[in-house]
Amino acid sequence: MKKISIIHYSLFIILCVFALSSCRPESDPQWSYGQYDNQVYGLAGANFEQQFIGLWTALNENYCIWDFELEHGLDWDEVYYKYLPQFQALDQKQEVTDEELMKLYGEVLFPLHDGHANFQVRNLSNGHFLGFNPSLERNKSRPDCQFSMGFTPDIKAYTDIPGDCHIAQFQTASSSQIQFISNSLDKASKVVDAKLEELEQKETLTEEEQLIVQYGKMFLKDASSLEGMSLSAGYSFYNKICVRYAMLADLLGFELTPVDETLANYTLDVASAYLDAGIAYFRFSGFNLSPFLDPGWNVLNLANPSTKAIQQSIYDVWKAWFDKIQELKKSNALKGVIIDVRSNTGGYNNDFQFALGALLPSGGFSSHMERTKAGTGRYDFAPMTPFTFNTYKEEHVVISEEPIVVLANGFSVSMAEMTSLSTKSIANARLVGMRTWGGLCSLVTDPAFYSDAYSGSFGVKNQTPFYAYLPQFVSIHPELGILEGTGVTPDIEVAFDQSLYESTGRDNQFERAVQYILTGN
Amino acid sequence: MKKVLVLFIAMVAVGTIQAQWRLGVSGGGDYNFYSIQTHYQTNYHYTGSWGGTAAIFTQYNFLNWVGLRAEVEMVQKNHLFYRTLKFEDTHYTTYNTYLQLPVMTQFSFGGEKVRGFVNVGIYGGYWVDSHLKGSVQEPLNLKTYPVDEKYAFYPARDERWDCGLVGGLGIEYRFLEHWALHAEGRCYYSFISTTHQSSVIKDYRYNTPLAIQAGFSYIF
Repeated sequence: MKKISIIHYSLFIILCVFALSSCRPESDPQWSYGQYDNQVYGLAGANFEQQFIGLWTALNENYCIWDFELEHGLDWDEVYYKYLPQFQALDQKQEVTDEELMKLYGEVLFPLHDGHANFQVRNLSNGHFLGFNPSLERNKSRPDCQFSMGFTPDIKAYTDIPGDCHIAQFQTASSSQIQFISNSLDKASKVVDAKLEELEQKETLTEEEQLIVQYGKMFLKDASSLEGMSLSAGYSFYNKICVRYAMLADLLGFELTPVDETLANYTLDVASAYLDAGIAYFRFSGFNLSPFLDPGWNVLNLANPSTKAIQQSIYDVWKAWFDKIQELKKSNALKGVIIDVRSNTGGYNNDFQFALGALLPSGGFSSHMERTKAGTGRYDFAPMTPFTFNTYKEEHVVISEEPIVVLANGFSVSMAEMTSLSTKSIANARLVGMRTWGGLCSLVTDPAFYSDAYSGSFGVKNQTPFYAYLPQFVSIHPELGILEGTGVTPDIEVAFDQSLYESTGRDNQFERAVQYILTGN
Repeated sequence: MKKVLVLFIAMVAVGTIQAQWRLGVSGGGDYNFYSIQTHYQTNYHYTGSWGGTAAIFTQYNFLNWVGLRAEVEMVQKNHLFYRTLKFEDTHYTTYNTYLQLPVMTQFSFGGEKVRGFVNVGIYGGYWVDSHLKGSVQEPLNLKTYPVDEKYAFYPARDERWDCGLVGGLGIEYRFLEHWALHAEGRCYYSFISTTHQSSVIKDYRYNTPLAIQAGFSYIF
């Protein structure tokens, strides 16, 4: 009896203990802001309080460098408690001005260091969409950044300047169809103007002539309204003009050839040069080379003759640089290579193989690690993996002895910075210029790929109560760490001499790169 | 009240005659159930994983059927993370080693040679080490890399102290006057999330290892 009582007593204690202890607190439910969820964003649009809570929560889950931010003194929980009452106070007001909302959200968002981060919130009071760019705000105080944002490198003047930097061969190309459109409309406008003047002198007009006058005046008005439009809007409007006035063109004998609108998505200017000193130079405005150089991409409409001509011209400029390196290296005449990524705002990772990667062995190149998020928690990170760029696959010479100089400035962003950072892992490479922008993390912004890492961009621009453009991967250099908001420091710092450039066309950063190649200093 | 007190003293006095110290070791395996909410991240999966346990213990029996047991033990609380669809090559086990101090009351029942027992108590512990092993696919290029690295504890994220309830059911065989073998099934129920909690959003993660262990003890 006693033994049975002990067993029963023991079992009773165990059951009680575990029954009581089954009360572990439940986790709070969390929703996906990375996919456009009508309910989630509907709640965020109800009032300013919910908008702030939604944005705070979405960032909490999707922003990839909270550990870096904490190191820099940013406690995201503290931000919540500090600003929630202020957004609640906005809900008590009849009207909230854009300035008030900009100021408040600016205080919340501007301390973030990510160099790509870009936000938009809707003023729920008046429906206006307001933009916030923390890195732009941060870099405002850097004179070099301000200057670099309006600067386009152009070393063409050295075709006429004797000395070490003298250029023997220089070529450029552009994907821009602005000049083509401008020329087409100018020519057509002259023809239409002349015809309208002629018809003004006539007392009576035939039916056809009346149509010419009517459409001619409309054409001149439309032709002059392209100024100020964005590239894609301008291309689209021009193509509409081609359709609308095809009959007028036929009657008056001028040509209006439509342009390829997809080229608005692939803006690119390239330049290559061969210096007498045995240096090959390549400059490109953005990492948009792949559509023009990689046949596997197949994104351009090459059946369109003008698109094909543009693609070929860009390819020829790059090939001239590439072939010159092969030729000089094989004849032991190569002194060095310059890759100019100043004021280059980045683009496709795949482009690496056509710039720095064209000088490295095939098989890939890795200079740093990448890290993604692996959970909804602020500090849930996956193990780091090497960030591997493609290097040029076809047969080519490897430049392992001659100096390679990458030129960068305060508006070298993203892939331009990755290229700059890569020089730190290549023995014969140097970075010359000024500290870069501070945006090295990689982005995949297509919502279809959100679930690859459940992080990065969220919301829909100009639609949801808030929207964020954010990276999905963090770049971490083994020695330098995370460089967001800081940028890559050059090995040789050279501030651009603006007055020298304006007065003589000389580019002192370019000259310093040449000096390093020729002297080692 | 006086009668109850006299009865209690008498029981203890009787029990003291039978009081025994014992010292022993035990070890075995455990399967850890890792509780975590993946919420909307349906491509992330967590399951439990096997690990090991090892302990030295001492026990003082006040009476034949009740005693107090304290252990110093190493318990692994492992879990597996894996992904599916195009990331099926991402899977790695996190091996977490805890140093624990359970203190339990043991109630035993049965005969002289073969006795059953129940252990009930609490434990305190510290997460001393963690290691990741497996493979991970890099999302941009889907290339797979091996993972075999020490987990870097991050103070803002990781809660390294642990405590909770412990309970076990076992059987002991006293094969000699001073020696006994035992086997036990035991559960550790943690009250402490493995991650520090944000004051705004609660997202708890718990370890609950179920251990099967065996050992022996010397009875003084």
